[in-house]
This record gives sequence, C-alpha cells and structure tokens, in this order.
Amino acid sequence: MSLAEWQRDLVARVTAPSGAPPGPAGLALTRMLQRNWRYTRLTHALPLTMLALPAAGRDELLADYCDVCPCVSFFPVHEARSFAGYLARLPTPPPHVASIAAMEVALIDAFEADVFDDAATPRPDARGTLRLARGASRVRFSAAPEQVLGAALAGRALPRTDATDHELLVAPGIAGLARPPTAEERRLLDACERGCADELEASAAASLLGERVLVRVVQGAPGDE
Amino acid sequence: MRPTPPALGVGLSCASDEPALWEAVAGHLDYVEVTPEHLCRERIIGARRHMRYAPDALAATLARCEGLPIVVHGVELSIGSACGWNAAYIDILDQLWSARPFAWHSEHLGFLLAPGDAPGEVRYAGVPLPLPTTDEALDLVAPRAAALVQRYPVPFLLENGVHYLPHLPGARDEVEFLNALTERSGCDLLLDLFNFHCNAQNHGFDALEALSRLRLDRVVEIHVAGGVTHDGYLLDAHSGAVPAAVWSLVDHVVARAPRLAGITFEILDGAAERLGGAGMLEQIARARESWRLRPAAAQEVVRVAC
Repeated sequence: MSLAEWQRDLVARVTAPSGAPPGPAGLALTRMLQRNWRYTRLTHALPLTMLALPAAGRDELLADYCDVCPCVSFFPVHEARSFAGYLARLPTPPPHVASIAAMEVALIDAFEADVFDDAATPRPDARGTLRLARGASRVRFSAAPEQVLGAALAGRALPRTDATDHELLVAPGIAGLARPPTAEERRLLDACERGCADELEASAAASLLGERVLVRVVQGAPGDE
Repeated sequence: MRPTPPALGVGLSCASDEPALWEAVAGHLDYVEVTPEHLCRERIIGARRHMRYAPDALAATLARCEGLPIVVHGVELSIGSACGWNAAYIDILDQLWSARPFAWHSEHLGFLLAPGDAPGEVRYAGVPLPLPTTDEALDLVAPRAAALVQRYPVPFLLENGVHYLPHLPGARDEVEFLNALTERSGCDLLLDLFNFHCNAQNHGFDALEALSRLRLDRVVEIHVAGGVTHDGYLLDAHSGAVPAAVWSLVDHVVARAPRLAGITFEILDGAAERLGGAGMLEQIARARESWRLRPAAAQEVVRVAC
C-alpha cells in the first residue's frame, strides 16, 4: 500500500460515522478525540448556539452532524458555517437554534470581511446591480432577536416562537454590527436577493451602501461574476 | 552548515489573552512561543486555503512579547501529507518573519490532509495523525524539511508526535525515523517529552532506552505539558502541571543535549486560567531548574568561580 493510500484509508477510518465498526482501541480513541476537537471548535465559534441546544437529544444531534458533515479545517469558522447549515436544513430543528447559529456566523462573516479586505465586494452567490456585500447577512428570527439571544446568553428558556417575521441585518459597517432593517430596506433587500433591484428604489440603498450591507456592482467590472 | 540556535532559556506556549495570566508570568520568561494560525483567519476557495492575520490579534500578541524573543510553532503545515503540504502556512510564516523575525520555527511531524476518493480531492483529518516510519514517508518529508531549513537563517525543528494507533507500518521505530530524518534533511528536533512519555506508556517501550538512541545533539527545543488518562491511555491534553516522570526525562535530556536552546511549557488557554498565575510560575520555575542542568550552564558556573 502506498503512503497516499495508507493516509486515505486511515483518515476514512478516523472520520467514519458513529455506527462504523469500532476497530482497535487506539483507533476508537483517535475517533473520539477527533470528534471532541470538532465539538470544541463549535463551542469556540458558536457559544450561544451550543448553550441553546436542548439537553435532550443534544449528543445525538451533534453525533449526527459529525456523521453527515465532514470536518474541513482546524479553523473553527468552517465548523461553525457547516453546523449552521446543518441546523438550517433539519426538517424539525430545535426552536430558534438555527437562527442563533446563523447570527453567530453572520457576526464572524462581518469580522472576517475586514480581515480579508473584501467588505466592499459582493457575496459570491449574489446577482444584479445592487448586491448583498460579502460580510453582510440577513438573519431571520421567529421571536424578538434580543429576547432569543438574551435568553441563550443567560442560559434561560428560549422564548416561544411567534407569527411575526423578525429580522436583523449584520454587516461590518453597522454600528454594533447588527440592527433591524426598515420595511423599505427589507423590500429593497428582497429585490436584491432576486437580482432585480431597481436603481429607482435606491433611495433606501443609501444607508445600506454606507453600512456596507450592499455594494453597487458596475456591470462588467471585476466582481461582476 | 546548520544555523546555531541562541540559548534562550525557558518559554511559554499559551494562546490565552487573559492579561492577569501574562502579568503573572512577566519577568519569568526568556521567550514566548507563538502559533501563527491562532492569529489568523482562513478561507477555503475551491481546493486552496488562504490564511490572513487578524490585525488586532497579531498586534496584541507581538505587543505581549515586546522585549522577548519569539519562536514559532505551527500546527497546520501538514508536512507529511502525500497529497501536498498546506502552502498557506508558508505564506503566513513569511509574513511573520517580515513583521517580527523569530529565533527558530517548528512544526509537527505528521499529517492532517489526505487524498480523498475523487482525483484532486483532499480530506481533512480533524486531528493530527502520525506517519508510518517507511522509506516512502522519509523520502517525502526529508526534502520538505530541507526546504524549510533553507528558507530562513534560523533553525527549523520537527516535533515528535503522540499517537494512539497500534502497529504503524515501517521497519524503523520512532527514534530511528527521527534520526534518519534529521540526518537526511538537516532539520533539528523539537523533542516533546510529554509526547514521548505518552507513547512510551501507551505503546509499552522504555523511554530512557529510546532516548539513549536518539540524536540528542539535534535537540534544540524541549516541550513539556500535562495530560489526562482515558480508558487506560495517557493523552496529550496540555491540561495542566507536568508530571514528575516527564520532568525526570527533561533532566536526563538537558544534561545530554549540547545544542538545547529552550524548554517550553505548553498549556491550553482554559487550563492556564484554571492553573492560575502561581501554578504557572511553579511550572516555569521547575523548567528553569532543568535548564540549569545543561552542560553549557555548568561551564558558565566554572568560569564564574575561576
């Protein structure tokens, strides 16, 4: 067996899903340590999310996450994004937890946009003339965000979900990094996400451009993918 | 010719940014060991990794080390990966060298990245894994280590790892592999004596006998740390005070390692905060006792007495 084949095989055994044959004791221990590192990265990057996970079913949920989502890096941010995506895809996620994770990832994105000097570039998945900026996010909640986040931080029971559509904008240019959008801004952001924002609506865009929530893309210019 | 390392003394490797902790140890350290990845953010675009320093984190760390030499201990190079090492680590190392030259730099002997099932796919192990002690592994790592020896005018060290896997392939044992690697590449050794102690305990060999065969003239730095026992295995956890058995190994090696330049106490940030300033100072003081056992120190005492 070549070194490449041996390494491929060993990594496959170390990252095998929970139900895989345990193998020798040292391998089982290495698997456990690998998962513990993943949980540690999640706790580091998503502290509120981890606090908000209901105790009942928590271990099973984390084990399932590790089974279906591979670890890609030492840096906790990747584990955070992956777990937030996993929570968002769950058919019946624990109440509020996906929103809390999305909020924590949005804050990381806002910070990292400045680290990578690309706060003024559009998100790779955005379209149109006005686009959501790389470090900007819209995070939806199903209760008042301050109540949800406050309860998670304090370790209290999370509030009941309500029928109102709550939302926060997160971006590096917003004072304190987050604020709720106005109704006019929400309409504009919806249009931006559909790739059909009308420049005539851009009166609402001034603050969003200033706070680096949106960027204006000149067609054919760099960044216009 | 290998660069001669400056004899620094006793250092600390700890990612904590708790001011009280650093205030407690200020004045008791001869150098600080920095892990560049702890100061960086990473993006993965396609198959490529990009790291960049978070300016505040870099500035705060360099300010904390003001007036002290720094040495570098990387974690993400993956020098032993058959699918290629992590070039993003070299980029941040170059940037750090420009911002603040280091006395030496080191990496773990092992791998994190492995080939995936599809062509060009790379998988991340999520935990450092050991290399087999085969000729192929030696042929892969030696030229990479040699390239790092040449890259900066300071020593490059490889660190012996801890592992829990039975029966790694290869005809050599760990000591024979390390000796062959230093000989072939020109790199030096970061001898982690807690890792060495763990492997001896977990895999059932005599640590002193193994050390008697290791090229101690290639040891530039020693790492010490604390760990925990789990299911009969001693784990490298950087979780507190160094066990007495490890200090005994340190004393043994220090007296026999003529190029030793530093003894570094490694501890995780949370563990350091639990150990507290007084506990940290105890470990640093014990490391200094060992440091005084080096042959050069004995010669200094003789010179002073004469």
